[in-house]
Amino acid sequence: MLSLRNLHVKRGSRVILHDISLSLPAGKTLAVVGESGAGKSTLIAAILSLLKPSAGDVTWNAAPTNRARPALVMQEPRAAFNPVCSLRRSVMEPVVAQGLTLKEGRLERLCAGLELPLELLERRPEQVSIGQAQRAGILRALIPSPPLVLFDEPLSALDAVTQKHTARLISELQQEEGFAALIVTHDLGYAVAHSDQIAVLKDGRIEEIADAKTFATNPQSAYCNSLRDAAIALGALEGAA
Amino acid sequence: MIQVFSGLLLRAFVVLSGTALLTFALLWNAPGDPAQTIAMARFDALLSDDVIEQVRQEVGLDKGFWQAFWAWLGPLLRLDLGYSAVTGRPVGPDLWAAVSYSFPLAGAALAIGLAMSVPLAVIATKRPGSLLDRFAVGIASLGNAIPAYWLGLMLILLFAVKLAWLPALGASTPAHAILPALTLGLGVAASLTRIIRSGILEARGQAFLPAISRRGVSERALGKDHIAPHAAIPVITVFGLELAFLLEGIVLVEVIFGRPGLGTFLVQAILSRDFSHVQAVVVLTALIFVTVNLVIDLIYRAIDPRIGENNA
Repeated sequence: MLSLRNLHVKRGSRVILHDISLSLPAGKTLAVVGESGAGKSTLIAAILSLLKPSAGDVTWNAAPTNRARPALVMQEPRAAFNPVCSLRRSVMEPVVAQGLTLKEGRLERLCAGLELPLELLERRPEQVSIGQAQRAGILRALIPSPPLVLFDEPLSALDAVTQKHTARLISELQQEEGFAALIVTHDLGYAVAHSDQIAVLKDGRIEEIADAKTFATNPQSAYCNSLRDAAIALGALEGAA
Repeated sequence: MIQVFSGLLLRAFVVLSGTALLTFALLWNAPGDPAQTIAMARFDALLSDDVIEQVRQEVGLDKGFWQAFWAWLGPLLRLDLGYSAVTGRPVGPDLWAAVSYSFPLAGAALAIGLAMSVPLAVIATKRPGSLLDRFAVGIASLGNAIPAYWLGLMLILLFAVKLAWLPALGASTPAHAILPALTLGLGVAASLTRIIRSGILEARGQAFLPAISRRGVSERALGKDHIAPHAAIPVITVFGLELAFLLEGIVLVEVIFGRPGLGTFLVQAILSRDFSHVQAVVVLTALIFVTVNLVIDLIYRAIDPRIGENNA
């Protein structure tokens, strides 16, 4: 289980995250929703131990999260890869680095699940479409079977059709692989449709945490109500709840 | 690949031919009578018009520009550098004698530059903004600001005159090369430190690194596979430029330290309007410059296959 207890993060004298406490059980999905500047990316960096919290702690099964070797799927699909390496080399890098031996056919199975032709892996990131690059990013995240996968705005760089397709693939793969997913997004519709719980982040604080379906029908705070109303007005919650 | 290599070679040929023609034209059109200058350098005395005319004919200055240029270029295409107008000796052996002093000096300067800049930049980037980092940047800025001729004289004053640890003038022992190599090497170190430091810092900020940095990829592997190749491209560019500046700087430093070599060879050749000597140095330096650029271009393509892909 991922646990964040009383997490505070400062940059200089500015407090970016205030007293964040969250938990995410194995196999479940938590969506962290918030506007730009709410502290979502800082939260991911703290979970990945890329920055040191000024107070509180982040653990996976009571141990530092980096021992779980959490995977990250980034917002910009092509920028998520070394531009001079083939996708295959980048995808296999965590496997090679961790000295793992993949089960026979795992790469092929995951590629098939992600609808990513194997031969595309021989190309470099700029030689594939953004959607294909994002699916390769998901492939790299999942291939060593990590217990925890962090998705940082995984759909925001994609067009509407590819967004829907990729969101479905992530959900299907989570069911098959059983990893815990923390999805950071500003897309409330996606969060409601594809997560178990939703945490709303505002100005570095948790505004509300609720079951996804409950949140869609009955948010508690005024801010979350306005967030939901805005999503309804944009049609983002149609069918989600 | 063959197409790319041919393109690079063609570019190199154009640069070499252009440089040779331009230098020949500059020497040809320089103020004063070249035949008179050559005659004075040859006989070390004021001479009659008849002797000057004889020299003019002998050296081929009585023919037109293009004929004279071809008379020099033709043998060069057969790798014959011709004969000195002043001494009458073949240019090749004299040039190689000069090169045998200058190239080791340039090599030592580059080695000093690399040996100082790489560790300094790597240590500085461990903690950007730290005292050590600021010290490295300060040293690099100082090194860039100090001209080689001033530094050379200060080194002579300190190590040869005050401390009497090292010889100042000449080239008879390896110790004679230390001060000139330091003079050139400190300048190289200054430029390289700055560029290696900024290259490493930029490479560490690459967007994809957070996606792999917590996945069992060691710091060493991150450095070797992802940071160093990215940081290498600007470093290689500056290294190539440094080599060009070094060839320029070596002329000055050899004169300051009274060393034989390409610098002294070139200065004497220019003063005596010795066409074949000047042209030999110019062609050699241009050839080195072109070769270095060619190698750099090929290294770029090896590091980053995207480079040159669109125009290959």
